[in-house]
Amino acid sequence: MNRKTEGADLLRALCLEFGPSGCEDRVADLIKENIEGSYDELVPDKMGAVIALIRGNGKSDKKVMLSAHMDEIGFMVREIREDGLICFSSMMGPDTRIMAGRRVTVGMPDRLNRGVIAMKPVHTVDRGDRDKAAPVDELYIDIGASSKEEAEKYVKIGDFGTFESDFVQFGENGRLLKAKALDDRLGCALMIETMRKIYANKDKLAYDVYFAFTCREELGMGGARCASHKIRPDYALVFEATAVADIYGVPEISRVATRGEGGAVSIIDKGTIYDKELVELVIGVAREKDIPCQIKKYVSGGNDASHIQRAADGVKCAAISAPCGYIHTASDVIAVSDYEAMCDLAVAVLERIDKNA
Amino acid sequence: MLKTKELIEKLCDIMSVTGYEYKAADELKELVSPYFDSFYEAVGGAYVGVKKCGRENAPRLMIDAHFDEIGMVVTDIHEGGYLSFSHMGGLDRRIMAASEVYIYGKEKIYGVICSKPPHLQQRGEFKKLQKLDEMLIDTGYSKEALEKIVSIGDGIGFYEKTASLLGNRICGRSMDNKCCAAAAIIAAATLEKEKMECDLYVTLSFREEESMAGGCVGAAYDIKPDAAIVTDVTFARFPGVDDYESVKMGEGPAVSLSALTDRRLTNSLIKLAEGAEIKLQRTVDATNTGTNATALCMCGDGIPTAVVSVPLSCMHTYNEIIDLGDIEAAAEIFKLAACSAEIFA
Repeated sequence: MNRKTEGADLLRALCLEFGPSGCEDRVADLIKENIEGSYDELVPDKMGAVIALIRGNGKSDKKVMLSAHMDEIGFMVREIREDGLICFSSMMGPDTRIMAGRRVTVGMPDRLNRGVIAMKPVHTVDRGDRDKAAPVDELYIDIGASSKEEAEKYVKIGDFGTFESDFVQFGENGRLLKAKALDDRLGCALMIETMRKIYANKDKLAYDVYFAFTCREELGMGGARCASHKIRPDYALVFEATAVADIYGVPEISRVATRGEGGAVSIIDKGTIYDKELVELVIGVAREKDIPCQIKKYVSGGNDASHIQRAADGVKCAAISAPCGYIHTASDVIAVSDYEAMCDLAVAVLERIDKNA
Repeated sequence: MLKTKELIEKLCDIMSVTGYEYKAADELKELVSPYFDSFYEAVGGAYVGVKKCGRENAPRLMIDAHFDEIGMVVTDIHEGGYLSFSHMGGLDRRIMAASEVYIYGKEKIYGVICSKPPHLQQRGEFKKLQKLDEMLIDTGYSKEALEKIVSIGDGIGFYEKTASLLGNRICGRSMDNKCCAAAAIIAAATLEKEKMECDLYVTLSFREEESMAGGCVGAAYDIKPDAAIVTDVTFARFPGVDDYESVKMGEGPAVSLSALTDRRLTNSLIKLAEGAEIKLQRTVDATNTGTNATALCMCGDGIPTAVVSVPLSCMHTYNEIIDLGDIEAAAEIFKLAACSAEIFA
């Protein structure tokens, strides 16, 4: 089956694919199929990243790295009970309010099953506890098995899980997209599209560009650090998703970014102080080419840049993130126009680094 | 006749949030009326399917399955296309953050219930559930555009469609109580008239989730049944739920033993099930069955009423889980009842 797609179809396929941190194989395969014919060389990576190199024409000895992570938030199977229910560990923090009742996919890349994150009915929760979120150890994945024996035919201890969530375009004139794992499959899709565009005109490219689709970002482990250590880039551009807090009632001062106003360029976050010159170059290119872009206004979150920046003897980093509502849930929501603006900006910035290099 | 799973899927696809059941009329009629002699909407708020045995003055058996589902109602429209809402039926606030809904305005609009970004939360806030009036729905419209489509008072339902789990199990929204409605419809559809001992009235009634009395009462005044079976869902066994208030999924439906239900009718059903070797579990609901039976049994000059329930997990979430085998077994019991003169004795 040909799984090579573009635009919204590419984004859809990437978001729907199963790839929790530490188990990114299926996403890696889908990416490899989609970048086929758009690179010169695949660079092997010990951590499981897909790294593709497009060689420049040799006029510059600089190296540029683009980075997006393949992994998504997920779960791990901890125990299978006698009654067939599955106990799990969260790989997305302790907030069960975004897990309870959700559909999930659980298993390994070669055997995936549907399940529901089940809990006891609200009717049986003590009145005094009705304002409390369900404790994670009172949540179970129900795959429909009626015994441990039946469940073990499909699921094993150590198996992974992710949310199951449709890819939905909605809002006025379909301006928003909702899916699981838009963080950071949107970055992966953007890099694939960028590779296709760059590779078609690669004789104009002065320097080597590495496209690193990294793993294990969501756990803060930074598979990107190893990729960066190996590549030793001079510049790195990280494509990500960031929280927004642009909803009704949130005061302007607490907002991180606004959906629909372009990719958010980070100055500083919890992990990185970004390279001033590179950040100014990105913003300058956006202004000049009239591509919507905004400054990430709140010092929050972090991404692979913190790892890339500190790899080897240091790397100049910039990060451009799609403002993403309800991030780290089964319902990431981004604006189509932000994604498109980021795609344009990626290509425009690459052209400009060329002149600076 | 559709397969059980397909029928449940189609019933679940029909939006019937408590208070907005009237919107289901056309779709439901098209889906279900071929299985009955006649199909009408009772004044009190119920869709009624009638299948007659063909004999004059035959006794009347009513099988009631409430057809409404939990949902929400729009209470305000804000700048940026965000909606405030309140509940219709008992909402489980543990599942609301980042869940998906349809708003049923002039057209059906998709929305996501907002979750609060971690950087705006106080330490430990994740352990606390938001109040409904603190929650918002993100529609992706401007306020002006949204107001042309959505009004205060419009209904909101959850998004999930029915999906398969392992074996006979399925999950989705509004299994409570579409799965029981399916059991009653299957019984009516597959009954052979010549074997029937009664005229069968299947009532798919309104407003159980909000007022319990629902539409079944009005329908009952109209029908004047000689016996009634209320079919609804009950708790499946689950960690944290006492064994005595739950039954095992996949082990058949359960008959309710209660001071409110009619002992003779209940015993007749147990006998019929035993005779046909159909698994029938027991639940003890001494003083309250938590179903329409509470209102129905005292209706008019009294209706002998029994309750047959189906085990369901994750009640009042958008992924309620049931076992199709339990539905088919319930349908068999309803058929046996309709073919038995003894239940009216």
